[in-house]
Amino acid sequence: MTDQNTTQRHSSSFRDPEGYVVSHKGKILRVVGRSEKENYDKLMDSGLYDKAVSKKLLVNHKEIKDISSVIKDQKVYKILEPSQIPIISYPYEWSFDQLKDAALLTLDLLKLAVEHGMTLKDASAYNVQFVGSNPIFIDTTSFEIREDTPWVGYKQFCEHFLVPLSLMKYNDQYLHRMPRLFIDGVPLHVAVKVLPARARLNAGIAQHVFLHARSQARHQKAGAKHIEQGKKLVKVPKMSKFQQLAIIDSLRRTVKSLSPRKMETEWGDYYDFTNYNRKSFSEKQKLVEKLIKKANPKKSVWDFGANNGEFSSIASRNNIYTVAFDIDPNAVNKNYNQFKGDENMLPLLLDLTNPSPSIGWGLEERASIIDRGPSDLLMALALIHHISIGNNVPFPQVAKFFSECGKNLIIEFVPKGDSKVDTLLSTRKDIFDNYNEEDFEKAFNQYFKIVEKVKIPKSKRTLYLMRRK
Amino acid sequence: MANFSVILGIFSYLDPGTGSAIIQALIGGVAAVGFFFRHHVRAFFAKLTGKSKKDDNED
Repeated sequence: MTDQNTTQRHSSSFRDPEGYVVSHKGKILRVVGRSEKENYDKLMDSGLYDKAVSKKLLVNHKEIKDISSVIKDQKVYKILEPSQIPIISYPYEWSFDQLKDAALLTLDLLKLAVEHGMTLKDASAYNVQFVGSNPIFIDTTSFEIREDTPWVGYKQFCEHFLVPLSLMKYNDQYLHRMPRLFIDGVPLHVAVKVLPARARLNAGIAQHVFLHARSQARHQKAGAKHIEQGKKLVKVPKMSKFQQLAIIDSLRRTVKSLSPRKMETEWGDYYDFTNYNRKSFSEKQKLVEKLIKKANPKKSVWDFGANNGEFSSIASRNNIYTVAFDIDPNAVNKNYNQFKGDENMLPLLLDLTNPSPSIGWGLEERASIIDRGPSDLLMALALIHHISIGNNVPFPQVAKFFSECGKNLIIEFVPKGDSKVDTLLSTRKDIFDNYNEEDFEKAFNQYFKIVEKVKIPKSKRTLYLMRRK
Repeated sequence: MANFSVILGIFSYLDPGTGSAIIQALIGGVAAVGFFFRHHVRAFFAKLTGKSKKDDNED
C-alpha cells in the first residue's frame, strides 16, 4: 500500500507487480517486492550490478534505508532511489540510431546478465531512457535468475526494436511513429505484410521477423487446439546458456546490420539556403545567447524546430539540459550522432502539428509532451511561418500551446517579404491577413509579457524574449 | 539441438508466446554453430598465430 499523502504509483508502471515505480516527494523511486529478493540480491552480489553500472549500461541507485517512510507494506523488500532522468522520452520520439543504440544496449546488458547467471525478464524499449545523448537501462527489477529456457523477452525485443528498425530501413524513416500506434511493439504479423520482399534477404530479419511471425501463427492455432483437448501445459524447448548467448549474438549482428533508409528531406541542409549571410547568422547566435542568459533557465531548455541543433547547443554548452526537437528523422539522427556522449543535449523527434499525446492504458501510461513540461525556456527560432502559414495555425493558438510548453519563450518573428515566407506563399493564395508583427504581438501578449524585442541585423526578422503571465 | 522437455507456465509476468519460444530455440540451435565457430575456433587459431581475439561487441 502506498502512502497516499506523499507516494503515488506511477501510471506507466503496472505490468510487473513485483517491481514498480512510484513518485515520492518529487523523485522517482523503484520498489522491489519481497518475492524478488533472490533476484535482486543476485544482481547486487554477483558483480553484475557493479559491472553494468561501470559500463554505463544500467542506471545506478542507492537503497532507501527507511522503507516505511515511503511505503507501508510488508511485501516490499527494497526501495531504490535511482539517478533521476531529466526528461522521459519514448521510442516513437527517437531517431533510427537512438533506437538502434537502445537495442544494442539491451542486448549488451542481457549478455552481461547471462554471463552472471541472470537474464532479463522483458525487453521493452521503454526500459531504456536517454540522459542527453547517452542511452541507459532504467529497469533495475528486470533481472531474474537464468534458467535453461528460451528468453522470455525475445518476442518483445523483436516487436519493440527489430521491427521498427526494419521498417525505418526498408520502408521509410518516418515509420519511427509506428510504436505510437502499437504501444507494446509493432506486431510481427503486421510487419511481415508491410516490409518489402527484399527485407528477407537480410538473414537476421528473415529469421527473427519472417520465420518468427510464421511460427507464431502456426503455434497459436496449435495452442488453441491443445487447450480444447483439455491439456494444460504446452511443451517448449530447453535452451542452454551457450544457445542463449548465440541468440543474443545473432540479434546483435542483425541490429548492427541495419542502417537508416536514405531520404531527401527539406531540412537536412536548411541552413545552406538560409536567409542570412554568415555574419548575420553569427549575430543571431550572439543575440540568442544573450536572451538565453537573460531568461536564466535553471533546469531545462526545449528547442522546437531545432534542425541541426546550432542554437540548442548554445544552451547545452552552458550546462543547461536541452532537448532539441525536430520533425525531420534525418536531422534528429544527425544531431544524435553529432552530440553523442553529451549529457546535456537530447535530440528528439516531434511533429508540432501532431505532438506526442498521452497514450496507453487510461490514456496516462505515456505522457504527452505538455505533461512532461513546462520547460524553463522554450525556443522557437525560424519556426512561426511554418506553423502559421505552412500549417494555417492562427497566432493565438500557437501562443497558447507555447505557453503550455515553456515558462519563458525566445521566438523569432519572420515577416512577409522574407524569402522563406515568400517561398511558402508562392504556391498558394495569401489568406493570411493577420500574419504581421502587430497581430503577432497582440496574440502572444495574451499569454506572455514581452521582456525584450530586438531586430536581427541585415534581415527583416525580429527576436523576442517573453515571460509567461 | 532443441530438447523439447520444459513446460510453459514457469515464466514470469510476460507471456513469451509458444511460437516465439519454439522458433527461438530453433534459431538458437543454428546460430550456436556459427557462434561456436566465431568465438572458439577463431580464438583458437588467433592464439596459434599470436593475434589477439577481436571482441565482437566492439566492432
